[in-house]
Order: sequence, then C-alpha cells, then structure tokens
Amino acid sequence: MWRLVWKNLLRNKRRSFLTGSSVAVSLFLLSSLAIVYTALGTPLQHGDAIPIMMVHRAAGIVLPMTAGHRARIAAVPGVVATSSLTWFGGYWKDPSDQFGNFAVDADTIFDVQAASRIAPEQLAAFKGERTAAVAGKQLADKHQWKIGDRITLLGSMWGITPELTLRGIFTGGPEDQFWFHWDYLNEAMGRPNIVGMYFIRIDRAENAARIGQAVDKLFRNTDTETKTESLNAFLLSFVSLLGNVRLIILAIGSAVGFAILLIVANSMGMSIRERTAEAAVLRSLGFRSGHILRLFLGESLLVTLAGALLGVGGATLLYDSLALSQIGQFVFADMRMRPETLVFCMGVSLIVGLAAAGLPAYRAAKTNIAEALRYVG
Amino acid sequence: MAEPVVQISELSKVFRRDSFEVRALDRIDLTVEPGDFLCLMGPSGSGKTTLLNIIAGIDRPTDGALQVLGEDVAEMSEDRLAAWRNVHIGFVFQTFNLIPVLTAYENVELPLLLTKLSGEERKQHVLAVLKLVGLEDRIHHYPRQLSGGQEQRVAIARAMVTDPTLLVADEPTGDLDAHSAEEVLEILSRLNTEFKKTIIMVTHDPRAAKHATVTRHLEKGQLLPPES
Ligand SMILES: Nc1ncnc2c1ncn2[C@@H]1O[C@H](COP(=O)(O)OP(=O)(O)O)[C@@H](O)[C@H]1O
Ligand SMILES: [Mg+2]
Repeated sequence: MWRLVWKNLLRNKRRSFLTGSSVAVSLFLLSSLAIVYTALGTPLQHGDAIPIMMVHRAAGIVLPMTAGHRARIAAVPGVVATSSLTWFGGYWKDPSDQFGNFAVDADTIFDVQAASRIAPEQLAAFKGERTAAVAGKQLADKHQWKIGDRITLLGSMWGITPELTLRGIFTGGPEDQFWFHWDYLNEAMGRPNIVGMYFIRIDRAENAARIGQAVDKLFRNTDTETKTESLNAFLLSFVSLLGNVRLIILAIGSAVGFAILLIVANSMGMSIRERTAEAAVLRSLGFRSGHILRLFLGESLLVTLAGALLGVGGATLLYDSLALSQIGQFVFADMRMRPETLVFCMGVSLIVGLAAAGLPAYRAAKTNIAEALRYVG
Repeated sequence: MAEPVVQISELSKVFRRDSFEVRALDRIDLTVEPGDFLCLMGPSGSGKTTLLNIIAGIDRPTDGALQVLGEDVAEMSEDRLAAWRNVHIGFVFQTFNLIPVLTAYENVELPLLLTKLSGEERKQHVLAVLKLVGLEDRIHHYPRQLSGGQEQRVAIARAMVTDPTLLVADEPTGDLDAHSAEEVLEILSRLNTEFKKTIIMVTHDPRAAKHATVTRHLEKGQLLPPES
C-alpha cells in the first residue's frame, strides 16, 4: 500500500517536486513569521510590561539620597509602590565574580519588582529576619545556593561584611540580583539614613513622563534634586507598537497558510482527478473506499510534510545559526525556533495536506465505479 | 445440479440524467450455470457493459432480482461488496487498466494485498498465475514496456490471482490485434475448461464467440431468446 503511495508520487516527479518545494518555501516563510511573531511577544511574557521608574540624584546616579524621601515620593499620584535600592558592591568568595547585590527595603521591594515571583513563606521569612537575604534564581543556580545557606559579602567599599542567610529565591525580573535588608546596612553603618535610589512602580507606562516630572518637582531647589527615569519606557512604547506589527504578521501568516493550501489543493486535485479511473480499477479489485482515501491522503501528506520538513528545518537551522538574539537582544529576545512554533508549523502542514486532498480523494473513493471506468479511455 | 452462478429475473437498469432517462437494461432474465463460458454479444449501446457491471457488483440495478453466487449483491453495503468482489470476482477490461506505476508483478499482487496472505505466499500465487498466462519472463516489466496482448494477459493474471469463482471480461480483445486476441481467448478458454472458471465475456467479435459455451445477444437493453 505504501509502495503504491510512493510510486504514485514518483509518477509525476516534476509535479510532486514543485508541490513539495512550494510547500517548503511557504513553510519557511510561515515559520519565519511565526518565529518573529513569538519573539516579538516575548518581552511581554517576561513581565517587562510592568512600568518601573528609578529616582536618583540629579547630580549623579551614585550619590546618596535621604531615606526619608520615600513617603513623599509614594504620595505622588500614579505611584503604585515605592522601595529603595542601595548598591552594596560586595562579592562572595571570588572578587572577580561580580554580581548585583543591593540593600533594599524588604517590605516593599517585591511590590515594585512585581515581575519577580517568590513563594509567600519565603517572602515572609525574608521580611521577618534582619539578616535574611534573597537571590534571583539565575544567580542562585550559578553559585549553587540553597535556601538556608550562609552568605558573607566581602570587599565592599562600605567597609562592612554582612553575614546573611538566604531565605528565598525569586524567579522573573532581575534574576541576577541579590537583595538584603537596608535596615541591616543602615544599623551596621551607624544609621546614616541614606539610600542609593528609589524604585517606583507606576500605574501605566503612558504616565511615566508626568509622574517623573511630579517626583522631580518635589525636590526642585533642594540640595538633593532628583532625576526620575523610566527603566523600560522605551521598551514599553515599543511593545505596544509591536502589538500592531504582530497583528500584521498574523495576517500575512494566515495568507501564506492559505496560499499553501491552494497550491497543494490545486496540484493534488489535478493529480487525483486524473486517477479517478485508476481508483475505480482498484475498487473493482476489492479495495474499499477507505483504502482509496488513505492512498490519496497519504500521498498528499507525504508531499506536504516532506516540503514542510525542509522549510521548517531550514528555518530552524538558519535562525539558530544566525543567533539573531545576539543582535537585537532587547526586542527580539528570542529569535529562534521554539518547540511550540515547530509543532504549530508542522500542524499547519498536516492540516493543509489533509484538507487539500480531502475533497477530491473523497470523490474518487465514493464515485460510482462503473461510471468512473466508463471514461477510462 | 449446483446452484447457478448468476440468476437474474426481471432486471432493469435506468440511467437518469437531469430530464431524460436511458433504459439500458429492460427486464432481463438470465441464468449462468457453474462452468459456463457465456458470451454476451450485441451492438454498441445495447447494455452489455451495464449488465456485466451489475453482475460483478460495481453497479446496481434499478429493478428486478439478482443473485450472484447465492448472494443478493444489490443489497450489500459498499464495503461488503468490495470484499466480496475481492474474493469472488475477477475483472478483465477492454483497456487492460493496469496501474502504470506498478510492474506486472505488483499489478498482479494488488488484490492479494487485501488478503491475510504473507509476502511469501503472495509471491507464490503471483508467480503461478503469471506463469499460467505465459509471462514469467516479464514480471518486472512496467505496463508501458509490454505489448497490448501482454498487458491483457497481466490483467487476466490479476483477475485470477485470488482464484475467484466468476471471471467477467468486457471486450477483452477489443483493443488487440488478431494474433494477441487469439492468445487471450485461448487463455480464457483454458481457464474455463481446465480450471472450471465460470466466465462472462462481452464482445462484438464473432471469432471470440466460438470459444464460448453459451452465446446470448442483447439489443436495446433486451436479451434476445437463446438460439438453439
Ligand atoms: N452512467 C450512464 N449514464 C447515462 N447513460 C448511460 C450510463 N452508462 C451507460 N449509459 C447508457 O446505457 C446504454 C447502454 O450502455 P452500455 O451498457 O455501455 O452498452 P454497451 O456496453 O453494450 O455498448 C447506452 O445507451 C449508454 O449511453
Ligand atoms: Mg460496453
């Protein structure tokens, strides 16, 4: 049976080849579109859509700010959450292994970094203990830290060596960071009551400019004038633009999918209609309608899937080797073939293969045998 | 006496196309006994093919009673009918109707693919029938590499390979030169005499008729009374 499918394919090699390669080209296009489509969707999935702004000294990002400013900033309309972040700049064991370690306001940091997720009991443990710390998962994995590990931060210009206990590991957001209590740092330093900067989460990305101005206005003409900047305003405005681009891609993708369907349907339709009499001969020998259906559908699937394999495989290789993620890091966070995309594209070609041959195959399988044979010669 | 292979009474077939109708068969009565070599003759359009198709279970009558090998084939479902054809009926067509992408061997093997036979058993059957039609040296040839007469002999082998009870042939010599036609007729004749196959053959060819044990004439859908 399969031999017959195969031999039928080879019967009109040129047509099978043309159909297969049209499918390959179309599927290459389709998978490219799908890859771009998912890549464009990635920033949103990573939680970067949460609008966060940074308040620092206008005179320089490293200059300290007064800890008491927090309440005033939090009162600005549109500010949803406020926390402080103070760069500590220590290392763990290996001085050459730099990572971001910050003294934060433990009670509020996860309200601001809302993209970071942590188990509730871990968060409670972090908040409840002055020497507790949390690390992002990426960082923890890198150092093979487990909850309960004692971590001593060395070599900081602050001149102290905090001895901390890891109480939580968060995922999402700045996973390469390490946070401990600002209170601990403040007390160890003899209560200078200074912080590095404030992080605020605002209600909507569109309000970033207005909120930034409002915050900066609070401290204008003081000796600690501030500058409030959006961490991801650029990205966010881009993301909403990307939404439209994705829509266009979706439309083009659908058109490409439809075009493949037409190509395969046309070629399979032609080839099956030419063989209606042959199908009738097979049926006269005892082949059932189901056999005929399988014969033709199998043929169509074989051409389509072979073409798809080429097209999708080509796309996979190309995008993986180009490593486009290196070029456009920001937006095209992940310009490569994902398993879902692969499954989607193969699924499309499966459906195309079946749908394209469905109607003519059904006709050939069901038509009156005597009549089909009559028009043989 | 064994039961008849074909028993037909008052059988009619009407083709309806939009507004007009063609009465292709008009109240036919016919009995074919086991071992008969029936030759159906008649002018073009007289209903020979239609009658043959109905007997062989690839078309259905409009009216009348029809028993083939004791089965009421007109009432069978399509799938049962297909299985029944595979076991009991061998077809030979005027235009041979071999599958062009398959070799002689593969063409003959086709009906056996529907059986439970193993590859080895199928091979034995296929080689035996190809030998029977004298084509053991052509088994790997494709239809286009064979002469018309050889193609028709492959077709006969394909019809015979499941060892059916009834062989139907619709103008099997219609597309052949005189010599090839004679070869084909001789094979059919041998199948009838040596292998006791019941054969119904449609033909216009008077020479063909001399191999038959019974000859009947159709005219305008009606079966003329047997000549005696
Ligand atoms: N499918 C069909 N639709 C309409 N008319 C048909 C069909 N098949 C056969 N006929 C008509 O039935 C009559 C008998 O045809 P057929 O059995 O092929 O005759 P024969 O084989 O003796 O030449 C003819 O008039 C033919 O035109
Ligand atoms: Mg005819």
